[in-house]
Amino acid sequence: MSLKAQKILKANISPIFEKVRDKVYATFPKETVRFLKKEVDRFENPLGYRLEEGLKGLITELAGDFSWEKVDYFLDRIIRIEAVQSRQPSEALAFLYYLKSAVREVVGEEILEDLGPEALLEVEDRIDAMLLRAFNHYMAAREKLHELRIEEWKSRLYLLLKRAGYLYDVREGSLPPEAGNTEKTH
Amino acid sequence: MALPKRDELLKDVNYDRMPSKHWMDTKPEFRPGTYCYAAEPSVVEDLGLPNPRKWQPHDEDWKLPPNWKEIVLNAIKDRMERFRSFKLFMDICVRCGACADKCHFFLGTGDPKNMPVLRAELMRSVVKGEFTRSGKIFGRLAGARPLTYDVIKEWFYYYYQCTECRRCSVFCPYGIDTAEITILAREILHEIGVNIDWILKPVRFSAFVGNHIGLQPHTIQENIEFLLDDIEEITGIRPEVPINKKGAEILFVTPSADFFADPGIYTFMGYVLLFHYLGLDWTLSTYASEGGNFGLFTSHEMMRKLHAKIYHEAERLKVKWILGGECGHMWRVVHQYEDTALGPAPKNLEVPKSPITGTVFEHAKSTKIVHICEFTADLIAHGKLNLDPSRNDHLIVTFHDSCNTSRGMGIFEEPRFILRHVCNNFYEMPENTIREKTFCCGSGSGLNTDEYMEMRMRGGFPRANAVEYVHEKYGVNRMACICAIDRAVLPTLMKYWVPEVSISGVHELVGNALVIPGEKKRTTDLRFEPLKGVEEEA
Repeated sequence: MSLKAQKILKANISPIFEKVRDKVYATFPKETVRFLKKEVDRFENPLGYRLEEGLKGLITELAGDFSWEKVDYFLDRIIRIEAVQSRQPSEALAFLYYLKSAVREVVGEEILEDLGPEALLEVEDRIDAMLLRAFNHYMAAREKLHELRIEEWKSRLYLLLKRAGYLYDVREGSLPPEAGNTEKTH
Repeated sequence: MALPKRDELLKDVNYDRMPSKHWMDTKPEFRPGTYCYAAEPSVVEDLGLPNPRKWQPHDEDWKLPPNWKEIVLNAIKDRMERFRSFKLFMDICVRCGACADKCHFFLGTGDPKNMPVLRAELMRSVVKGEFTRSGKIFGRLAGARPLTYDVIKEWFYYYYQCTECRRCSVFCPYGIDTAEITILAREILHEIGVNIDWILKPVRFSAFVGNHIGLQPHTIQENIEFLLDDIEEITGIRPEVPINKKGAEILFVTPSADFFADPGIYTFMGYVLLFHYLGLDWTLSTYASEGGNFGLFTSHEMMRKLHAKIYHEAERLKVKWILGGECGHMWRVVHQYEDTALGPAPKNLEVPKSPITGTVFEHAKSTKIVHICEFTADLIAHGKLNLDPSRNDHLIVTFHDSCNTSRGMGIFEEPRFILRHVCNNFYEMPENTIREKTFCCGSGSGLNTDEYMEMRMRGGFPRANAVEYVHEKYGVNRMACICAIDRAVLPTLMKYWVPEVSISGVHELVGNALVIPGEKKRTTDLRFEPLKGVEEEA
């Protein structure tokens, strides 16, 4: 699944990463960016850690033996954060658009000159595919969020609902298992 | 060939998260998911609190009383006179920035106004602008600003975006406690009727009925019978749960969620099995049927009012001392205020003494309330419990220090000591995310409501991030905690960030491991999940 421009991309992972990171950080307030860049501990700066880990992972995949399994993993980790940040869906997924910009700015000309327009189109198509895929993750996260609101109410009133016969019970099996309270089923 | 610059195409779309204006000029945006609903007028009225009316934070007009400014300024002045700590906190910050990145809401949102230094500055700037001469003259240059309608909205937004967890204060060289600033800011906002429903409804039910969701005595009893059925099915034993028993030695007070909410009920089953094993002379009270005290999130007076029922019941039932269950802010109230604002304890109470080990709990000499983990850890230390930790072998456990019991009380060792005795697989999360540096669940201080879900997921992200680490490294699949709000909200947080990890109280695991004379061979834990090895046998 590797791209024609793999070699050029591989040689430029760091500059592409730095460029895209700066573009993503530009959407955060100034005071925050100072902090996001400063800390290194993954537990004391989870936001910065995950964003950087995810972006680096995506670029590495793009420049390497692209596997959807790994790409999905990194997309999910970034998007799960983005999906709860009060951003419009377009804002939440803009990081992939920035990735495209960064690639074009850092190695676009070089790919064009060395390998021709097809090679550049190939890279950009691949990022487009990631962007499409990102919608799945975004929707999944948002749906999860709303599902949790309902589930939490059920858990909160668990015994009252159970006594009233409104809940699925693993042992009694009155409803299909997927409708039940997950606390009991997983 | 010059390639088009893609970013120029984005010009029409505003991706600037926040305008680069001075912080005093930015206003919060009340987007759904980031604020809690306002209290219903009938609730405010029942509690005798000011300005009951229909309003919502997303409304333009909050229908404040005409003299709102005067009320707020007087309230600030009053609190500065009454609370020396508050007066100091409004003065001494040197803006060193040690606290800036310690708040879970800042770490999860990236919003600079969630840096504790700025959260306090929201109030401090007004104190300076309204009460000091330099502030009045130099204004913004001196970090001062006048009190305006927008400031009230900003206070509401950010003081309900602080869970009073105190993590920032651990790092402050001056010991400024932002939690106390938040507590007082909320108290001041209450005076003009700026409040949230999720806090005031539980307060009303606690005041009028005795617990957060208004369970009547018979409902409590029926629920408990239901749990006893389950206990009987699992262990073959049916313990007795004395309710409102006069003359019992010990009054047991626990968060009411333990009577009906998942997974608190399993913790309750653990307590009941333990008390049965010990043959303890204990009782529950249906009036003091709530360990939690949302009064702490309302006002000092309300906290006192709600707490009083525990002492009243201890007096009415003529018990000797009080044992408290696994609750978070209940212990902040006990530890921090009981000896002063809420005391003294009724005269019939004695210094708590374990009837099993004879240990006298000297530290509870004046409050007369002992934490269940202290009680159980003492039993284990004296070898009084027959435990089979292999019954928890299907679980790989980590421990979440709840903010209130850790930073508000200093209880670190007892729950860990218990866990090490009741399960074989226990792993700590990274050092900078536990004990006094623990990360909040993101939903404490009365913010555990569903309309606030999005913000809760952000606030809880640093916690979840550390859990994910131990899940991946050690295969952790259960996080134990000693707080009812944790038990209510961490399952949700985990399902979003680390769905493989479930949540339980410490005493649920005690209940699993406790070998009780006369019980049948257990094949499941208290959740009816098969014990390790049982599945293979079958």
